[in-house]
Amino acid sequence: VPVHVVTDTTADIPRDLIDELRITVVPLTVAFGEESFRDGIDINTEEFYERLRTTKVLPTTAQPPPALFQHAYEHLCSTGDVVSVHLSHKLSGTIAAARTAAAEVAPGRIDVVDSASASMGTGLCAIAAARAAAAGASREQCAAAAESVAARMHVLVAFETLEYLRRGGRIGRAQAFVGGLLGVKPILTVKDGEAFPVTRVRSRAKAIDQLFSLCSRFDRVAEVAVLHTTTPDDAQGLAARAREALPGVTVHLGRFGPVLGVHGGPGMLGIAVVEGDPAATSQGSRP
Amino acid sequence: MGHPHTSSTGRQAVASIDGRALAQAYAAAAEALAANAAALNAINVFPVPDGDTGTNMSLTMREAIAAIPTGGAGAADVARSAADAALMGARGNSGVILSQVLGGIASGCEGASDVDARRLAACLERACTAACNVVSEPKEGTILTAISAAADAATARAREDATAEDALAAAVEATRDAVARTPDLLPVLKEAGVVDAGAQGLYLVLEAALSSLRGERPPAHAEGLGHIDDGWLAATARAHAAPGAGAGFCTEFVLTSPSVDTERLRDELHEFGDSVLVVGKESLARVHLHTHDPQAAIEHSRAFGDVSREKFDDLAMQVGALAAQQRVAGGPAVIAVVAGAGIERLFGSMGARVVRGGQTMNPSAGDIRRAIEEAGGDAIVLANNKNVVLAAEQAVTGLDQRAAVVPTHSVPQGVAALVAFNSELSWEQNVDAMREAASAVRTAEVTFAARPARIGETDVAEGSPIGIVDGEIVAAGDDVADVARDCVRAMLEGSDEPLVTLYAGEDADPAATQALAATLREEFGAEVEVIDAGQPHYPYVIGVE
Repeated sequence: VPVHVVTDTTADIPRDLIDELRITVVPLTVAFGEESFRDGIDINTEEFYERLRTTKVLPTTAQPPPALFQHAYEHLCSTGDVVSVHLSHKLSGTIAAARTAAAEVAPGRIDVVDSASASMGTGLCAIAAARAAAAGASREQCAAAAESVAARMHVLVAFETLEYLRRGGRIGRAQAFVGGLLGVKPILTVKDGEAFPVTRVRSRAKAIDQLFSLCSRFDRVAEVAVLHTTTPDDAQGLAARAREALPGVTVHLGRFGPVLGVHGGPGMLGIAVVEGDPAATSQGSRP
Repeated sequence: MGHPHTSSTGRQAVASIDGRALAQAYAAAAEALAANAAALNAINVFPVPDGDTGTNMSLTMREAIAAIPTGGAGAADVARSAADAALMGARGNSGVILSQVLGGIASGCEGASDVDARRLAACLERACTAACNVVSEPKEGTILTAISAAADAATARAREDATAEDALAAAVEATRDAVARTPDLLPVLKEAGVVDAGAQGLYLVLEAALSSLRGERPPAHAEGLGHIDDGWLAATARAHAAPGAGAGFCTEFVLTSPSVDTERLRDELHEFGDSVLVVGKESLARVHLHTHDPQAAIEHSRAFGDVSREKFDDLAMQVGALAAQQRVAGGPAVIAVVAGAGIERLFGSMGARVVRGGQTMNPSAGDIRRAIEEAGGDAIVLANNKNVVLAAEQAVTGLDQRAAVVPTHSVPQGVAALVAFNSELSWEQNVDAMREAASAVRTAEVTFAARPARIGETDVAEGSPIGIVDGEIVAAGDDVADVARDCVRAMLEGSDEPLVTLYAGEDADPAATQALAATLREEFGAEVEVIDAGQPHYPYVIGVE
């Protein structure tokens, strides 16, 4: 049976990969007051950030309704099984909606995987599942591929401020880094599916160095992604350093979509590093 | 069908609900949610305090009623079309749960043209199951508690030969009690002083439906200060979390007069600051704003009525105190020895407990020890002055708690150490990280020569500016800014991408400080941050990382 991979728009998977790997992406909603937009359908990432610069109403975000998943699953289940990979249940109700829909449509034919991460931390899990699916793997194998990447996922995110994260109620244990009269740059990771404080540094340059240090922490690295909200130059610089340090390793470069943009704010810069799989052999290694 | 019963007003209780009555009940529910959306947003603290429960429930209900066919549809059709539209248009977590409630009702109505007491009870039972299924980790003290209470009460009442109205009335009463219980079931609600927003939203829906059935207007909510207080804590907490919060004073007061024009007051207060909240009725309003000039804002408000219960808090300290309070249970505390109000605010804003002291007024070991004991648990002491290190070392010996000194010799070193502190890490990890961070900082102090001296080839007159880097005099001259610049040059040797922090003393002229910062940026390509520290004796203390 063919396997279809579903994820949501917060996975921030680049458009060409979505097309190439035939991944189905269910949109979350971003709202400015009572005006709602389906992420990627009614508003694209560029339009969103443009609007964010001028808006007086601070935007909010909402998970997709279960019915959206239901429609997607019903459609896909007519031709195969489904593996649905989403952002951490501690950060969003999206995965709960997916599970509700899965139970409704075809329990036993749809595997819903909690990536316990966000953005490309989720996206790289979905990509792994989709690659396995393209290679003819079973539903169980595709789900296992996603879970294996989730287990080897390491994420660091530098913020200009934690105020957006706190305002949106996603501060988690990073509450400890809130406040202060100094211009510090907090660096967080995702631990047990929620924001977790790593360190604070005093300058943007040091923050980027911290993020880059994740590239040299492992003997082998399978894949890397660099994302930003409003600082393409910083992201390009960091990606270039990662490529130089990790020859042969794919380094994706992308932008956080509207939903994570709302919660991270301007200046957010992140790196996701998938540690090499000891069970596999055909992966790039550090020189 | 149940027998008609007579209500206290002489009107016959509604035995069963037909399609038309159900459509009207849903419309009344949508109206009630719309009218109370802001109040529900204000008390939304769980599962994430993102303040959108009211908006999400209201918009979801609006979607539902827009899809109801007009004219002559039976209860099953009305319920189904509303539920389908809600399931598609559900917005946010609370909207999804509400859509499941409507879905449960629709499945309970399947094939029925009207809904009697038993069927109503079955609808609410199914609504309860559907709502519980959609939540990955169902918790008590939420909308789930409320819908479960509603279903139980309606089922119990339906067994007693009751009308649909009786069953719904029992459900409404039980829901009201369940909502009141939510703070006891969910501690986060109790801390914020609110009831659960989703549960309250469900109560409004059922109450509006009952009123509609009885041909009455739903009762108005949000009257009086008591009710305003319910949402106040959550609303102000969110204001403090908003971007830009953290400067000036958090100012609150109560305004009473025969008629307060709350909208005009709100608009006009925006002239004085931000995070403006005006909540209340014509006769009584509660006001909150962040402003650098609380007195001016209050004076202005007097034109609108009598001002009472004024309260001001320094926002930076408030945030720091909150951070200190929320210190991870069992996590280490930081105790910092500081001199000067600005430095105290700086360390306090980052969650440190402060002991006053410093260059000319060293605290005793006993002072420091008392602060450690008050903090309880593991502790880390920042000396922030060479002359305090010994007293601090003495303070941490022979304690029942684990305590270590990070022997910072200056405020810049202390700040670097505090920035490196992470309450989620162990005490040992923190001590190491803070020592390392402190050692990466060089400090210059610009002050005035206490007596004539000779530095290298230069004679320094008493009272002229001198620059001391890590304890040694390296610069002297006639001009404070020039000496500061010489110090920075001496410290920058060999470092790239330097970060310079300029701690301006009480005698430093703000314009001169900004000019100095600009010079340092230009001349050394440094990132420069200015802190209004207000220390005595030293026009500038300079940290370089």
